[in-house]
Amino acid sequence: MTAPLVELAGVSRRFVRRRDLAARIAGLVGAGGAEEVVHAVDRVDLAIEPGEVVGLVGESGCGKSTLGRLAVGLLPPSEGERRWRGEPIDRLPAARAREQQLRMQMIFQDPYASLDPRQRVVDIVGEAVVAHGRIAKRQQVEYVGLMLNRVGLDPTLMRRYPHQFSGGQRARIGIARALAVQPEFLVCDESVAALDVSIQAQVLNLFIDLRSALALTYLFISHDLSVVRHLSDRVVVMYLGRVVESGTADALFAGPAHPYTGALIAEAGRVEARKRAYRPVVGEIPSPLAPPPGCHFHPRCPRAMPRCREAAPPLVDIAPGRRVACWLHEAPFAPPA
Amino acid sequence: MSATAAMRDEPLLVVDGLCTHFPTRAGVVKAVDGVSFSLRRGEILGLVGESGSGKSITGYSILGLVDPPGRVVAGSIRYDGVELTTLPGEAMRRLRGNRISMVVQDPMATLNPVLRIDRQMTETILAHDDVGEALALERARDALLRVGIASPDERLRAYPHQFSGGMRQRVAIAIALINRPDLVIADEPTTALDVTIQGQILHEVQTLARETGTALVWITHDLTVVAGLADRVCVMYAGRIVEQGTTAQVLESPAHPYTRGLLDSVPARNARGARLRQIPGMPPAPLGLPDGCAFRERCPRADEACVADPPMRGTPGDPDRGARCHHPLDDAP
Repeated sequence: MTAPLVELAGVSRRFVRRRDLAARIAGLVGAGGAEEVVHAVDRVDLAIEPGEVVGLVGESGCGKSTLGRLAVGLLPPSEGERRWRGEPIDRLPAARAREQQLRMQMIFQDPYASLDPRQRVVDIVGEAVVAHGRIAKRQQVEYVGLMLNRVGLDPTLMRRYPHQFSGGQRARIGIARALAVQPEFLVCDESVAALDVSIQAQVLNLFIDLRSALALTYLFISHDLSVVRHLSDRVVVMYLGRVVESGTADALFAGPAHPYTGALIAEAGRVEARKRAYRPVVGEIPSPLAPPPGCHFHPRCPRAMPRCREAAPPLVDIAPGRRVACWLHEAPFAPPA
Repeated sequence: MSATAAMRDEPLLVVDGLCTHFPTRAGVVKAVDGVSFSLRRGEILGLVGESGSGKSITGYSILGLVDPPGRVVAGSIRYDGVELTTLPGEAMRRLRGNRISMVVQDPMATLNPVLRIDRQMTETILAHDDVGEALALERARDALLRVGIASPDERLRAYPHQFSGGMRQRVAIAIALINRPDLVIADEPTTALDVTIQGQILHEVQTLARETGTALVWITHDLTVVAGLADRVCVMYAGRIVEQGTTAQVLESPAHPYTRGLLDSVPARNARGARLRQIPGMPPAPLGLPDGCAFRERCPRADEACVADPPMRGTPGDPDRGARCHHPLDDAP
């Protein structure tokens, strides 16, 4: 069996809010609180096979963007190991780390904020690939032209600045910039969320075309279940920093095993729905600063049991390729510990 | 109020030929260009369109809140028999927040960051109804309960920054509904929220509209929201309504090729993993719209006839159902 292309093993990421001066002085007199720690990502395992499209879903604050940044190497993990084709990549020598970084690229959400407004498109797209010595400076114009063609933009516009383009065109510029260094793995973080419906379909089609043309592997992060379902082979659902369910897209959408996945699917909009009575999940995502004990979802869960308040359920296999972290799916005849 | 009784059967809101234009140095932007629709009491109308289609400006025009240099240059807006386009500012201000109110996408744009929630809510009540501080506070508390906020007493003493995004939007909706308005204009109020929170808010809004008979204009780009919420739908493109009808008529048998294109590009309506059926091209620039049908350059059915402006074609016996197209789709009823 070959190793996955990208693998995160027991990866965690904590963010600590340092106490400011006032809080430290308060601490001296015994009145200050402790440092606040957010477990944005809490011991997550994720393996992505070559050529696979993995969808990562969850609501704001669930840690999906942080996990994406960990996967692409924009953030170092607090704990755990990241591997590329089975090889650990967190302690590579500098030169090899740079090479490695080019294999993984990220496409960001906001096509307005992620492009330097003072750079022309020819430099936005071509700067990195020249800086890394993949092509010579004199080849830049020709190369950027190829990249723009590939994402469906007119190469004659490469002397323009980002503000001269529409939202959909800027999304394409962001994609061209990521593709320019010839990555094998792309992390798309809400890459179509800011686009209008008709433009969103065009950009999703571009992702589909590029996948087959360039044999790309994707981690596709989105809060929009219909987008994730459409693109993904496999889907991972996160809630407050933990993976609560994963499985093939077909199996997961046909029969969600975790009550949270079920709620997300029930709430996802459908054009076919007639005027309907909404039966929503109660409550909101709790603050990640003080997550509930046990299963993080239990205060909102319609099927919560006393046990869910006490201990966090482990992520267990319930079918080939299907994992869920919920006490409802514990093996029924497990021997007592 | 005097004219109200005699006009029970008349729609609550009648917008007729509304044109809101913005003069700029480069030319006149016709943000809203001949929009007509009507709304009955207790009805929920979904106003759907992409960015720049004029859906929000239509909402602001009804409220008399179009920023200069933009202004309503033609058409009429009759609310409960009163013409709003010529209403003096002071009379419009009394109507706003009392009989007509608004919810916007970003609740921080409507909530005052340095005032506690109780103050913001009682001010809204007392500005229109001099009931005294104690009763106003009682009403504020009820309003928070009705939009699903637990422990309202504690929440009343909080500031907006202490709330989550979903909670802020609930407070904004509670304030919009606090004087039991006849009409609420809601501009993408759930777009920035998570699906489970959106579901809760749609649920509460739906219940409130049913209980209080409040009519809603729900402005959104999201077809899935109108599918679940609205009684009727108007689809806007380049400043005009291109199709209208009941939610079932518009979503199940769209007559306008643009509506059809929007529905077809929804991922769930395409085979999984396959390319989506996309509308080619981009919405036209607001300056220099083409003559005739603004959609014709992206339209698979367009021909020479589309150079001429298509009229809104109604359906015999059903004036609320129609499409602005020379070649409407055949499967329309």
